[in-house]
Amino acid sequence: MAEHKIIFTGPVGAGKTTAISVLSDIAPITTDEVASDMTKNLKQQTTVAMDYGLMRINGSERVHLYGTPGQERFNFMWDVLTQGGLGLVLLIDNSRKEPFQDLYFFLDAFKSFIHRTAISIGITRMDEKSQPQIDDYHREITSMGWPVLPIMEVDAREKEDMSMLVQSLLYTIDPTVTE
Amino acid sequence: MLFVNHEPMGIALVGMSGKDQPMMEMFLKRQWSSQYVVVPDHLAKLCILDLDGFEGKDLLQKQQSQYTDRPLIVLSVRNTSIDGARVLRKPLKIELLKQTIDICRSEILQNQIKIETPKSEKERIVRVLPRSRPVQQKTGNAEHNLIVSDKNIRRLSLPSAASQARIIQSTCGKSKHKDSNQLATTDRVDYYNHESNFQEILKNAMELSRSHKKPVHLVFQDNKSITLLPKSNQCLNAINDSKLKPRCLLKLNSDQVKIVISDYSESQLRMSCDTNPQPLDALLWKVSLWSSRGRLPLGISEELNIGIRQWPNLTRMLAIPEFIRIAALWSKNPISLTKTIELLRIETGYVYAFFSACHAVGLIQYHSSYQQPSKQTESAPNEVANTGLLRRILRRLQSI
Ligand SMILES: Nc1nc2c(ncn2[C@@H]2O[C@H](COP(=O)(O)OP(=O)(O)O)[C@@H](O)[C@H]2O)c(=O)[nH]1
Ligand SMILES: [Mg+2]
Repeated sequence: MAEHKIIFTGPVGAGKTTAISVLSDIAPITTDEVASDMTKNLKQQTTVAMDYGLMRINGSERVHLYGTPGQERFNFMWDVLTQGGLGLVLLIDNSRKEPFQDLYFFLDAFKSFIHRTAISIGITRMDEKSQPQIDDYHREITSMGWPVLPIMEVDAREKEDMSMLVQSLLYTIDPTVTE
Repeated sequence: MLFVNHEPMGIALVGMSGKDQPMMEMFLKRQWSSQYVVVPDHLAKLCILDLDGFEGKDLLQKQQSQYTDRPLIVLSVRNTSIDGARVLRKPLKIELLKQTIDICRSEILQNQIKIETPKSEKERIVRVLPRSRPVQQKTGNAEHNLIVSDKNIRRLSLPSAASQARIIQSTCGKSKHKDSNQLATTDRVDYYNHESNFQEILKNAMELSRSHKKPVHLVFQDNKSITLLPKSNQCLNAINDSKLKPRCLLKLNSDQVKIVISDYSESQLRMSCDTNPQPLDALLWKVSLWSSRGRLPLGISEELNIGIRQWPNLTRMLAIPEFIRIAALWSKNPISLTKTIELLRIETGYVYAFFSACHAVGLIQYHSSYQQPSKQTESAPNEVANTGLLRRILRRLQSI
C-alpha cells in the first residue's frame, strides 16, 4: 500500500516535535540516530533527531508525519526526504531574532518541493512575541514573489490550531474536495 | 528477466552523517520496500558512500582497495570522477539516484548469474539475513513501534455537533445538514444592508480611531462598551458574544451606540480593563459574520470575479472548515461567487458569509476580466494526492 506523508519543517524550537505529537495517533518517535561509522571514534557523539508520528485515517490507511532534522539550507537529502510527500507544513518561531530570515531560508531550501506540492505556514510563539504580525509575513512572501499562501498564527501545543493548519494545506492542494 | 533474485539486496551506507543515514534508509524502504536492506559494510553487495563527510577520502580508498568488484556509488558536492565508481553530485536528485541504484542492481544480478553457483548464493543469504534484521528494524522503527503501542492511541474528543450547528446558524444562516443535491444555486440571492447596522458603526469607529490615532469607545445604552486600540490593532470588549450577536441584526442609530474618542492612552486603558485585548480584525470579522447570516452585503454582484489578497488568520477567527476550502479556492484564481458555489458544491450561505467577513476586513480583491479557472482548481495539481485520500485525511483532521 502506498505510504502517504506530510513533512514538517522549521527552525529549532519552532514546535515541530510538539505539532507532530498533537496530531499523531501514536506516541511520537524521535529517531535518535547516533552518528554512523565515521564519527564513532570521535569523543563527542552527535545525536540527531528526525521526528515521526502517524495518523490513522481509515482502516489500515495511514499518513506519516515527518519532522526534518537540523537546519541546513542545502541539505543534500531534502529531495530524498520529501519525495512522495503530500505537502509541507512550515513552522516559524516568531520569538526568534530574525524570523523573516528563517522564512526565506526554509522557503528556499524546500522551493522545488513546494512548487510540486503545497505549503501552509504556521507562526508559533506569537503569545511570547507579537511582532512581526501575520500581515507582515504576508507582505514578505508577496515581495519574494510567492503567490497567496496560507499563513496563520498557531500554537503548536494546540491540536485545533495544528488541525486547521494542515487542513489549509490539504485544501490548497485541492479546494474542491467535498465531505 | 533481470530481477530474478527476490532476496533483499544488502546495501552499505558509508560515511553518512547521523541525520542523513535515516533519510536514506527511509528512501530505500519507500522506493523498493523489501528489495534492499541496509547491512554492515562487509555484507553489502552495493555501497553508497558520502565523500564529503569526515574521513571521506580514507573511506573511499578503503572501498577501492577492499571491495574491488563491488559497485560503488559516491555522493559529493564536487564534480569529480572516480575510477570504478558512479559519482552523484549533491544535492541528490531522486530520479538519478533511483536509476543509478537500479543499474547497479542489474549489474550485480547479471554477474551473479554468470559466476555464481546456486549453493554459495544460498549460504550467503542465510548468513546475511539474521544479521541484517536489527538494521532493518531501525529503518522501520516507526512502523514497529506503532504496532506495539496501540494503547497509546489518543482519545479524541469529538466536536460538539450542537455547538458547530449554532456557529453555522449564526454566521451562515443555515443548518449544516442539507441535501447536497439541492445546492443553493437555484436560491435567490439574499442581501443584507450592512450600512444600517452595528457592523457599519464599528467600521466607522475603527476609521475614526485610526485617523485620530486615539482609542475610541463604542458605548451601548446599557453602558457596556467596546474600546478600540488603533496602535496595537486590538480591542477591549466588555460585551460577551451572546449579547453582541443579536445586536448585529438590529438597525442601530447614534443614540443606541455612542462613539467617544478617549483621552486615555492605550496602556492606561489596558490596565484599567479586566478583559483581555483581542485583535480588531477578529472582532470586525465575527460582527460581519453575525450580520450576514449567510447573506451578501447589498450591492455585491455574484458574477464579479474576486479573489483574496491574503489568507485570513483563520485560527484566531470565528471559522468553520468550509471557510478554509473557500479561502484555498479564492487564493488561487479570480472566480465569481456563483462559480465558487458550483465548483465547491457548497451552500450559498457559507460562501456569502465568508465573503461578507473577508469584505469587511479588506481582504477581497476584484478582477475585472474573466479568467478561466486554471487546471489547478479543476483537478488536483498534486502529483501524489488524490481526492479520495485528501477527503479521508480531512475528515480525520476535522474530528480533532
Ligand atoms: N509559548 C509557546 N510555546 C510553544 C509554542 N509552540 C511550541 N511551543 C513550545 O516550544 C518548545 C519547543 O518546541 P519543539 O516542538 O521541541 O520544537 P522543535 O525544535 O521544532 O521540534 C516546546 O516546549 C513547545 O511546547 C507556542 O506557540 N507558544
Ligand atoms: Mg524537535
